[in-house]
Amino acid sequence: MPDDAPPAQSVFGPRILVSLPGSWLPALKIPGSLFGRDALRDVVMPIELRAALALLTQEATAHLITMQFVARPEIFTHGRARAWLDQRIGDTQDHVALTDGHTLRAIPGLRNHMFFYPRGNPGKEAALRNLLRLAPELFSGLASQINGGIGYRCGDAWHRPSAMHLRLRQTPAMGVVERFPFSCAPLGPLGTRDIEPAPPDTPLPADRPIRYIPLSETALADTAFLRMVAQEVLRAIFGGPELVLLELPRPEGGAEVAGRIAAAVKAFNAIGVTFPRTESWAAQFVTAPPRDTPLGSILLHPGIPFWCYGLDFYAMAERIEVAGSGMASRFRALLSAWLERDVTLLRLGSTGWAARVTLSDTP
Amino acid sequence: MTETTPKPRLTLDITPLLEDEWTGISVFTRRLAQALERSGRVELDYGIRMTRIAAPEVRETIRHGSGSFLRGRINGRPSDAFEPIDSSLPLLYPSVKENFGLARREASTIHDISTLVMPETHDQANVAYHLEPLRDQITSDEVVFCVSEATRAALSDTFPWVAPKTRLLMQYADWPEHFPLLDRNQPTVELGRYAVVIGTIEPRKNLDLLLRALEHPSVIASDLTFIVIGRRGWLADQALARLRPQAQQKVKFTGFVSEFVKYRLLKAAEFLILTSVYEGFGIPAVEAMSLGKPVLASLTSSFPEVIGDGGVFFDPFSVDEFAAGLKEISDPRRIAELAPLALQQAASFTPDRMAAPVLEWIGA
Repeated sequence: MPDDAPPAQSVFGPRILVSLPGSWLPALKIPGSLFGRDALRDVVMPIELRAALALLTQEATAHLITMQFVARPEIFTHGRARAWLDQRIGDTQDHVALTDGHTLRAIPGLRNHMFFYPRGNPGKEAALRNLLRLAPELFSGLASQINGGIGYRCGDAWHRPSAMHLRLRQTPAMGVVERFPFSCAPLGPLGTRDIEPAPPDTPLPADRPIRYIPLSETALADTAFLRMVAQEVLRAIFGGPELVLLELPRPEGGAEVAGRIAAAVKAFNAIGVTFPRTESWAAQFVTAPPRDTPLGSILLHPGIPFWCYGLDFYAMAERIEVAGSGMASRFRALLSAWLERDVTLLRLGSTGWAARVTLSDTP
Repeated sequence: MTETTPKPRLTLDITPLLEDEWTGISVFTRRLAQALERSGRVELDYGIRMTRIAAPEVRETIRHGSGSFLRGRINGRPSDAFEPIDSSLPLLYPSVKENFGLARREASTIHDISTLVMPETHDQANVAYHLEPLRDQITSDEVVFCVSEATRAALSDTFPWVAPKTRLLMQYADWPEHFPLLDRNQPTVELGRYAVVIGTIEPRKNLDLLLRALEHPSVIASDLTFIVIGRRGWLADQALARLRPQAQQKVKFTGFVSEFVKYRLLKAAEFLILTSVYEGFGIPAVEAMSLGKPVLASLTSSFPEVIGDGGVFFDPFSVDEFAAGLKEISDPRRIAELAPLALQQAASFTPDRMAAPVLEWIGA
């Protein structure tokens, strides 16, 4: 989408209500059940939640939509409390429930849109799956799921809430961009190791195309995917044609670099691949995507909050590929629709690894 | 000689009565058992999961007011003395149904769905205890009793297919008959003008709002103090430490108190404050109103229907609205207006009202 293109009509009406997970409320200083964006200004929150809010704000700004937050939508379901809310929200028709997967709180009578923001956090993804198992009905009334692709079967019927695609034009600031040489040498007793970053003014080598691979906790937990990434890293280290940049995961939204490196190194060391003990700049860990750098390709795992990156980021890449165990083909379809461009699915090979053993029930 | 029609029979699961200290669900179970017995229109059987419990044992347990008596009786019983419940009788669970299909006709009770809509305010074990069986519970129930219209609406909004089989099962307040006499024989409560606040410092009870409001100019200027019935945990200590000494002095925590002390404190109070952000019913409101005390309550979930015109409401996240409500309800003229309305509202919750939907279910 070019920057100067007129924004397409919004799916939302003239006013939207937004709710955050209840676990965030103690961190906010709010004047009442309804509050504005100002209450979130100085709150430290994970990058995915911040990006989700930025997406909604961008949509609201572009379409002159009034955005208001509601602290606990679950208390305004009926009767006098509901009348109180209705009086204050006027003709608002849409409610966006930002969910961490532990619950989904809809407001009856409004169009409820779900935004599951902690994609890539295994605990939160498991919580969402559990919620789907326990109360699938919560999802059946949704007007849409924002940047999500959940589907589920309840009884004999399959359900897949309509998809709504919201995209950031520009990638928001994700902190200082630092680059570190790839190294999987054993960590120190504290689980960390001193690795010096590249000096800030050192440009990336321009002689090779860049292969950009964001990592998340979910991606790191996918052994087959990580083995594939490991092979690409090894190829790069031993003179392959691409420079591999691995964006470090953010465990529980944390921004502390040593912890992010430790999480990645620990995962790579757990998959049975042997890496050279020396540091290599042919593959690098990065804290955030480098700005204005052409990318040869981006490889995305389904457990990456892909919508945290702006369209400017994807526009820099010649090729976009996805790979991962499980629902990778569904993710390819979601990402392709979201980006409005072709996305290639890479099959995870099992060559070189012991064949899976399946046991029958009976001896 | 006239032939009498046999009364319909019902098994009431009394597992909650095994608790040592009866609060919440245990008291609800006790009231339900007493309301049904009092109706005279049902022959009650009792059960603990699959085991039948004799009615005299249950009555004795209720007289003791603790589950330790019943546990002692059960534990001392030889294994061949256990008798299963009669599966041909309708079976009513006053709370979570952990087993399904013990009887041909089953009903259970939903108190609230806070574990589903605000799981962050519960520990994980409690969430799992309520949610794991929930769908099977309401699917296998012939009737799903809900303790308030708020709970019924919340459950039906979540599971629309369950709506047709939901019924209201609202409890009542029942102070022991001897409390008024005991109270008259005690010295007067001399705590000045005060409001009672019921609740611990757990997040769902939203006591933090009260503590923040203590620094509001109109609250500081008021001559009221606040007596919090409930434990004072480290969260309360933290919140209190942030307050100026003048504000700290306006609030006192009683810790755990007996029912009689609670009765006395409420009776001598100006009004009751409930700051909770979510409740299935809110029995403390009915208890206070039954003593003629109006309630200052959060405008949330079941409070509006339970308190009705017997109180004043505020946005549970607004210190300003709370302070305004407090100012209104502190005015002696307003209290005088609200007190009879509170009494009238409390009187609408009766044993007969509680028993009626159950009796209707079993055709009594």
